[in-house]
Amino acid sequence: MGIEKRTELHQQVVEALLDSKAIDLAAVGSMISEFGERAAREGESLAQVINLRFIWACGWPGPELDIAGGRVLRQLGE
Amino acid sequence: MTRSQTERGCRDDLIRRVLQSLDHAEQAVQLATSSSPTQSATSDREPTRSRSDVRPLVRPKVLAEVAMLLRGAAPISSLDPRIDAAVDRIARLVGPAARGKALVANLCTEPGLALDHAMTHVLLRDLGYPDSSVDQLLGSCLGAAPSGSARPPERLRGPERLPHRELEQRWLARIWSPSRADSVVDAQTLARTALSWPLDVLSCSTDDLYAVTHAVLYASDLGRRHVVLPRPPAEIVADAEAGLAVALDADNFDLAAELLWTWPMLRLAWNPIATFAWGVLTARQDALGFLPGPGYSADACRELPLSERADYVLETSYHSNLVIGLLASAALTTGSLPLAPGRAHGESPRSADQLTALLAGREREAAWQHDFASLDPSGQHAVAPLVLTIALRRARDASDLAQLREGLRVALEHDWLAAPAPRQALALLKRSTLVGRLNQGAGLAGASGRGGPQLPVVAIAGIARQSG
Repeated sequence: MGIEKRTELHQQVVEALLDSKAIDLAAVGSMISEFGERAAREGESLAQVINLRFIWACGWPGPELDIAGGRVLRQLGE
Repeated sequence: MTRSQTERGCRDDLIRRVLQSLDHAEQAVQLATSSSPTQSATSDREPTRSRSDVRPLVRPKVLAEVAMLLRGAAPISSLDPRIDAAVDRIARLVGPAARGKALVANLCTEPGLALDHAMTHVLLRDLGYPDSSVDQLLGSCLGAAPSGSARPPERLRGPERLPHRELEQRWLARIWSPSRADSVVDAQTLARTALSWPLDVLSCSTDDLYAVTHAVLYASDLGRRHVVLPRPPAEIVADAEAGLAVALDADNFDLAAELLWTWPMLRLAWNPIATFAWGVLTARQDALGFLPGPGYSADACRELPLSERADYVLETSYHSNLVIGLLASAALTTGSLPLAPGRAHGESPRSADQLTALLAGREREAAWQHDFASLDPSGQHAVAPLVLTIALRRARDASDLAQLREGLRVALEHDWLAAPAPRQALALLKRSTLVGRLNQGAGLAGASGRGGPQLPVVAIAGIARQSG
């Protein structure tokens, strides 16, 4: 679908696409990949261990209540 | 088929899923209460190796979450006598298990965490399953004046909490004592949650998204209360769609189901992207008989003896099945049904080909990709913003700025720039261009330190090291 009338946002994208052509994006991406890893991954658990506490990513309880932390950790042998 | 017939079919389907969820909940309670109070082992035998990798159910957590499902299902119990019977049966199972000596001891010793400990009790009490002894103790923790005394005891509020957790406290307090509810403070609390500002869709973590789903859950009381939204509904929907992109691409059906709460709990009309995500989830649920959780592995399940597979499914997936039950219940309660609006005529297949090309390069195919491939061109066009978000997110995850740039070019060509992901990708490309230009200006090809003019890159790298 063609764009009949260019909005300010369209114009910004066009300019960004043109500007970035003069840049070595692979070099910038390489730096980002070295320092910027984060975010959701495949098969991520509903819980994570922070120090000796379990933090549930979802549901009850919040981190205020350590209902299972040490016991579960011991069971998992961590 | 007429619209009313379609709606009736949808309602019947939702009722079936609520019943399925209640069945899972009952089994999870039985499993979680079959051994020690804080955790469950499923039998006297040692679990097999595959099972030993799975986190065991934690009894208080299962009981509290099942009580939430009962609260979600209670308003629709009149729709089917089997729902009413299941809610009653499970509530009678949960009550005694949740109100034991451990709860009494915890309320005695940790009054600042009273509502956390007593969540299951509070929800069951509101459903019509009271316990006067726990009520008295909880009342003393929450500052209720004992009978015969004019002066209430001091109430300890416990630890500092994140805003969505504070919202949970306010939600529980309202259920415990509706007369003390304060809608102004509720709105102020909601305004401090992540539901109130734009999501960083290219970088957000799973936890960030769960924080948003919980704000929806508590503010709406599982869909039972109308919520005055902290920003325009279209913005909230756009972020929820972006969240769905993240969750579906990680095959995290648990998170995807929670994100879908947004539509029924906030009483918003479903759109093609939400309906597509609902289809991805229900197809898996129908194929397996349950909605697999993030920890579920079909291969690991197959390695287990037949006698252990049911417990494995509960341990890895009970939560996801409660979540989809809450989703179906909220849809029935609010009448916000997962029905797609009429589709506009689609574009040429070229747009779908371009999107598919943007996704190339990853070995594993996510479940949504199979479902997307089976859509007709107009269906694919309707969910194009979701696929574009996934493509941009993958490019950002891989630090592949050339691919990010190509995604933006495709978005420009098809005028898909309105969603948060392309706008944030634009900003990322601008920042990256700036970084590249700073490097060039400093006479650098890379980020190796040479002092003086290299400062921008060295500074950025240093900040990243410190935060890592």
